[in-house]
Amino acid sequence: MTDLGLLLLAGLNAEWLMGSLLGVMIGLALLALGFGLITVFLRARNDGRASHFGDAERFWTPHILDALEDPDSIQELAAGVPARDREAYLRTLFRLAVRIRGIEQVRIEALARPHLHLTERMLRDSRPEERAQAVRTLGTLDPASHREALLHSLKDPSPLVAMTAARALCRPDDPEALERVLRTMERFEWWSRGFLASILAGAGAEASEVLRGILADPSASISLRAVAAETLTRLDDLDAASVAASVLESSEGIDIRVSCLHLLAATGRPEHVELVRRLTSDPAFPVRAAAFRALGQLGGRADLDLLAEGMATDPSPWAALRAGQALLAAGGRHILEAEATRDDPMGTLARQALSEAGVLG
Amino acid sequence: MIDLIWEVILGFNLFVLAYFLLLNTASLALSLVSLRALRRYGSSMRMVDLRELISGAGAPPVTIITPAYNEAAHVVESVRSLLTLEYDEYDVLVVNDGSTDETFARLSTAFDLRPAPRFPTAALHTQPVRGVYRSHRHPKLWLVDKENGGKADALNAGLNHAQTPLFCALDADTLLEREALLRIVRPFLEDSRTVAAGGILRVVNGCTVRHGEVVDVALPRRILSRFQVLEYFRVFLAGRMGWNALGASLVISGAFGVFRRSTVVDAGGYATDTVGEDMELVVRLNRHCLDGGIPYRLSFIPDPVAWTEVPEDFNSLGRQRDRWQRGLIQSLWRHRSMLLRPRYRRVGMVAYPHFTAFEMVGPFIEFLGYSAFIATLVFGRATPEYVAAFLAVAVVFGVVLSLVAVAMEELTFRRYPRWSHIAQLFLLAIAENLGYRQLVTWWRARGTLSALRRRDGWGTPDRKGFQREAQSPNRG
Repeated sequence: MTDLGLLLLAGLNAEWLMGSLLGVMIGLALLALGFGLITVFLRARNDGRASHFGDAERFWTPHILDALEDPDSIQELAAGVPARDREAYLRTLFRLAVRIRGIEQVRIEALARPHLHLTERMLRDSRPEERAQAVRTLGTLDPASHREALLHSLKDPSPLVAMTAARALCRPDDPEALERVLRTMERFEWWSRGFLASILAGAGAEASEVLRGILADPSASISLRAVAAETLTRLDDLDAASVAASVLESSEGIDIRVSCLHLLAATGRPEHVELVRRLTSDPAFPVRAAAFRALGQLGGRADLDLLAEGMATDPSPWAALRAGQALLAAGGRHILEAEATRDDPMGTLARQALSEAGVLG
Repeated sequence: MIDLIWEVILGFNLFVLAYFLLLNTASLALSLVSLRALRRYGSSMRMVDLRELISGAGAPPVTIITPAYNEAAHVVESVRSLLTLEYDEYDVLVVNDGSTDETFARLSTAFDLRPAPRFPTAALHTQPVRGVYRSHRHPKLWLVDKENGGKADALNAGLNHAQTPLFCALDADTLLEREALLRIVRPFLEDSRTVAAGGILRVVNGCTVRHGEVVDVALPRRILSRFQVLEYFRVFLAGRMGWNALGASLVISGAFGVFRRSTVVDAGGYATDTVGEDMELVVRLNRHCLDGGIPYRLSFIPDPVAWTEVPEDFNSLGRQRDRWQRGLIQSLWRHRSMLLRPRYRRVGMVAYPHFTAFEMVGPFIEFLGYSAFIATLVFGRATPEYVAAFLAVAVVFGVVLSLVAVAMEELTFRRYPRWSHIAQLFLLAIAENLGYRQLVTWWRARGTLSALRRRDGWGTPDRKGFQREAQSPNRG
């Protein structure tokens, strides 16, 4: 076996082998050349596009701003946009639309409307990212005219597209669309509750009744009910406090109880204090922590002993920390100041609570 | 007898050819997966207004934990840059790991640090904490002063004092871009199962840095650092992105990653008995979640950027690669029961075998393969077929992989703005396969040997801390 030999061999002659290897070498070299050319092409194309978009945006921005001041010129301006500038024109409008509200928003919609039929066609694109981009453009530049298309996009197989549509539809003037959005929320089970709540809160106080209904509905999923509670907290919906209290009496899910305690902390009344007190001894530490926090908001001097005990004895550092912070909120500064002199974790906790409130230097 | 030796060497040559072919084909396949994932990510990012997203959702509070050991030269500048990040709610928690230089004194003077109460929220074992301080000028800046215990021990001390749901592990000599935190928390908003997210590391050598911010991106002046630019492209854009797309991430860089605090604490924090604490943690998080039936996700996001200095001399680079290889081997060996176990899903069935065959054992085989090739050439035993085959699978294939990585960079982020950068990157893609790659293979093979030679099988880490291995003169 003195050449590459006998192993590769099995009847293969050296000429055939050399030819094959040469083929592999040439193939790899072509592949390398291909990627090199792709890189050069991408650089040239990207530079060209950036330059074109930059020029087009610089050109159209002052015209658009003028049209926002002079509504009579809107039609003429919108009709005069050449096809090659359409994308840059819409992008400029989009950039402005996310920043402004009121009458100027209406004028931007009028400027965009004649060009959005092409964007609507992108909703049928095979790439989910392109569909989501189209949804976002329509939802920002003219949501009312494209309401049906946006509602349809809620059922898009891509969660990205559906979420973009949900964000576009959660507007204060369309409670019916909100209901449709809520029906799709199960799809977004893993998104952060804060994020979902921020989307739903975009629908404003008109959404409160629907959200209270979901919170109270035991057939709805726990995660959806928790999102409803977080949204009602953001909306400061006072009528939701009694719903939250009854959910806390009957529900066992940790997430939903924590969310309801957040809601009670923001909107609760004295009649809810007893319930919150009971939950400070819940077996789940996130519930205890939320209950201590709520008690700090709703309770008073009668709860100082309970909060002090929670701070001293709760096995969870998070619950103990919340109890310490709540103690200050409930008027127990003197207790914290006494504990702060201790040279142990309890003293550290008390000093931190005082320090956060600016009481300790 | 001599004939028999040559029979063995030539037989080994064939094995090496097959090995290189398999290794590079796997790398190319991973690169193509990454390419697709990067394109999709780039398109989806166009739809996201980060500030709108974060402000609407309420940015999850983050604690940036920065271990510092003898970082007096740069620590003030680094911390100052951290205090100007675009993010609503975050703490910067520097852990002074028993520095013997002026790290503590400089921080204390620059930021007016004073003793402050900070209730520990976890009880991970660490070396004793001497004190906790807070800046009177920047209330979000905290310092935990502790006795020396190494980087992992310092991170655990930071974890004990973090009071936010997320924490970001960041090396003290690493610079974060202003928007990096905004970008890297996105997966935590979009999927509440996310337990960790890694960002991309880029080479700061050669760039102009002003007030802790990279203001002009350029390639390093020294050739050794330039090669590392390409390596970082390959590792992050082609490697990490590909594994992430396959749902089998095993590594999030210790220099820049964001983690869910509670999951890391539940999993036991950072391991202090390995030199590869970052990889070990991620492997353990996979195991912890899969063993416990906890739904989880690990993410790699290619656009939150942290800039890091890379070694500029052979000794420092060699030591770094030796240490990285030992860390990798320690992590893989410690969790070897995950290998080819279906309960560990793609991590156990795809990523683990790949890392074991190509990253753990690979450098050793590659090094022996290069040696055998040279011996075969020198003694005139190489046929033209063999030489052609070796060059094809070991060199030309390597060039292809490097060019794919350059194309990926161009397709997505285009951080190197000038045409001359592209030309230089092309040349580097060819040149690195003619010496540099072999050198790195040698250092990694040496790392494999030194991991094996330790008395306890895998050795114990140095306790000196984690001092930077090279100082760059290029920070402006």
